[in-house]
Amino acid sequence: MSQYLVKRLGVMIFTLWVVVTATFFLFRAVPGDPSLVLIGPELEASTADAIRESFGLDGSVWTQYWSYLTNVLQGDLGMSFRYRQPVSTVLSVKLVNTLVLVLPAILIAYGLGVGLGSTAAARWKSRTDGAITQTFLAIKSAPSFWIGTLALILFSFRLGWFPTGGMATPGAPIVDGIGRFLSWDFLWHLFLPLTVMAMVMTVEPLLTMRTSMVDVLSDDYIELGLAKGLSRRRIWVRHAARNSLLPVISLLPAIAGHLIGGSVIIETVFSWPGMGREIVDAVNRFDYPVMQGAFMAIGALVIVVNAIADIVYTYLDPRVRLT
Amino acid sequence: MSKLHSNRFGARWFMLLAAVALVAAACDTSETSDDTSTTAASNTTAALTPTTVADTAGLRPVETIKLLTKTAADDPARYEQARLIAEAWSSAGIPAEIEPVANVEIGRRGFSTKEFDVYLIQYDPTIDRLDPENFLARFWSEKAVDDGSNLSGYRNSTYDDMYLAQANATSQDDRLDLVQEMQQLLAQDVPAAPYLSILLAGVYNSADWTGFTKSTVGSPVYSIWNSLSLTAKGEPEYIVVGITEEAQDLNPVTAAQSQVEIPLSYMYDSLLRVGPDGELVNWAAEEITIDGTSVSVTLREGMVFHDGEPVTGEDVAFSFAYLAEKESPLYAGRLSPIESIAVDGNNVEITLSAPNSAFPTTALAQVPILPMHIWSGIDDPASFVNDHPIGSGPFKFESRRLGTELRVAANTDHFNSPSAPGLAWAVFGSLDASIGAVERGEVDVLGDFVSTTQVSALEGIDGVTIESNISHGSNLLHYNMRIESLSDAYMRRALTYLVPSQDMIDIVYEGEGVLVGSIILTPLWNDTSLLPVETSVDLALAELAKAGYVFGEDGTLYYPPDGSDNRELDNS
Repeated sequence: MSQYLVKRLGVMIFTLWVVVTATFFLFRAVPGDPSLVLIGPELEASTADAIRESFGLDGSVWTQYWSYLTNVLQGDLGMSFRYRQPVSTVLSVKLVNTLVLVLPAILIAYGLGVGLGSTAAARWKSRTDGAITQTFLAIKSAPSFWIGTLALILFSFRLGWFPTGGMATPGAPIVDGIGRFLSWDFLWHLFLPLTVMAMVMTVEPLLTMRTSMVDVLSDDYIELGLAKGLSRRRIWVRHAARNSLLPVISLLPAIAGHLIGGSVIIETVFSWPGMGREIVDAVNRFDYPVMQGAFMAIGALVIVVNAIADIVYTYLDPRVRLT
Repeated sequence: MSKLHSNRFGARWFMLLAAVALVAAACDTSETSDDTSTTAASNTTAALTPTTVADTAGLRPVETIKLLTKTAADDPARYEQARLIAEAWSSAGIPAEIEPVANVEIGRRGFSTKEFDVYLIQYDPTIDRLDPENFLARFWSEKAVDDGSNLSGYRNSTYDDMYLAQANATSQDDRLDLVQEMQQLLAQDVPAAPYLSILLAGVYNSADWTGFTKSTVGSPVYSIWNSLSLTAKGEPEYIVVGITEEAQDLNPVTAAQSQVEIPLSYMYDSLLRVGPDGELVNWAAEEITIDGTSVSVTLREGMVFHDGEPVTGEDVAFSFAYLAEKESPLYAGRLSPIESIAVDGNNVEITLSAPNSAFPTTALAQVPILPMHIWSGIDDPASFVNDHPIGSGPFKFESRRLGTELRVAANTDHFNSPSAPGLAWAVFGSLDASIGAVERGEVDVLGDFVSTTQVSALEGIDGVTIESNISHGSNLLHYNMRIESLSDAYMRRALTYLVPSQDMIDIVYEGEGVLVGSIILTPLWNDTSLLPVETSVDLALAELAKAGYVFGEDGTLYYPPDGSDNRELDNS
């Protein structure tokens, strides 16, 4: 076991180094550079060199890579080109904003997905199954910006029940600390984006759960349970649903990326200042340090969650052995 | 973000595009019938049109003219105008197509490598452009280099002489004469074709606010003057300004994004400010006298920075020297005319290397006064996080949440302190969202440069007041005179006659724009005798005929045959 963990850790560190190196060079291989984004009718092209120099882009790529790598090892992610603030400051602000939206969304999505998915499977091919599956397939096939915009038009613009976007009422004094997320104002702003995001995210666990449980329900031991005279409810919950969870758990690492990456579309539609918009803006404006920092964080999270999923898998299904 | 932001407009623009396509299709047929009628007429009235030759052997066809523009996703209005223009050129027989490119690429090709034939650009109505210098310099031959701002590559020694003379002019009247003459010259040589100017909208919540100050130049509503005078009708509260593009770097030395200039100008004072009517007014300066190369400034008494330190002449001299030395992208260029600065208490003597008529607008009214006691110790401003800016301006920094809000509080010690207790810039994900917030009363002032067409959703809503000004920036075509076909003045004039300017106002801007005939549009400097160029296929063909261009029987346009080549080549 410990040998496995050491090996696993080594692979994780190596993977992370590959991610860091690849993002560093890939972003620089994209045509254009951060000074060109600024140059235009408002800023003369002759200032480009001075701007590049102030970003530390005047040396060779290898010197830049070396200094980046040594800085990262010391925990320094550099300064954002756009904000002129440490990348860690920029990303932590945005990460918190994203987490308060995405974490509840994932929890709701998994709860709803597993619940509705098993209900649909238990009543396979019934009207309930049809209603659940069709509704969520419809949500899945509709683009989320469309659903989001519709929700905004109806509940904010028409009915005026919810704000048009953002995390707090503009102009209200800025509250720091945890109190910010416990206020009614925040929850009021959170409701629409959270609902839309949770709905969209529910689809995958729901369908996976349904398929998997339909499969399990046809197994012999279910038949045996029925023959033993166990209640249907007991069979569904104790036997079928629990054994159908594995494929749903294996979806987690894929979804975990959202925790840091956020959802660009939902964030844009609801003016939510999260990681998704931050990353897209950083990419559009060639803010290398922010891009590198964000992708490193996403990479690290996905790597860690994958490892955890592997370990959880062995616990849930002892047939899978750690080797 | 910007891409998605435009996707939000997708639906609306898609409908507009569909409408435009329909109208364009309708125009197409009418244009073709116009064409046939002109050809028919030319047989009888002999209007000048290029001759059609049967034998095109040895003739060179005119290369396809590529019109550089932003993509439909990044800037649908501009893309649509480019499409209409290229279509008008093609249907008159001049081969043309649009070349839509991404934002980064357009910056590189337009401004740093000059890889384009014709570039459709929109100049925003910035404060700088109230002085003619900003536009006039764009046709000065010294700037016709690869990384220069003379996009057209225009080189004319008469123009250059007048440019330098107006820059060094010491009397306003002399300068006005020169500036008008230069506009005439540009209209005749057409290195660029300004064709329309939009109506710039300003929106504010008049249900809750009184004390509105209208600006007659730039944005009619979103100006520091209005931010100083707006007073809440009820409980005093912060003015909320809705913006879609956040001011990201609040360090005046390193900032390179033009959005930053506005918040900086609220927190930092400058010696002068551009008043609501476009005239310069004294601000931190009690008095300024300019005599040739000498600029004498007397600083206002009793000013203090937000941390309580007094503002002195030393701070002014230090700021100018520091921003220039540290190559501040926003301000160093403006300070380049300075040769030396001397300080005596509250008096600052600035000596310029040559008289400079634009200096008060471009430098004195914009360069921030930094506190020397803070910045003198900072050797590398690029590594300094100015997360709590200290200036002496009418608003002082209060708090900031990245991507959400920047709050500034009223500086009650200021000589012109605001009526409201403070102001907050709230960042929205899209213009639709911020317009929605105005409608709901969450946003008091719209802080983006928008045309009246873009805020038409707010028309007629109780408590929302929309004001408009004609923008002093314009939409124009830069012809790249380094390209053979466009180095000919006849060709440039022909292309200009074909620009369907009124159609663009009607279709793209729903009538909310004006035709223009000069690139200088501020009332003080505009040459009113220059009328907008009329849209006329006949006049365009006549220009081509005069230069000697010929059509092949298949409609291909050829360069003039040897012997009848009357082109006016500029770069020969």
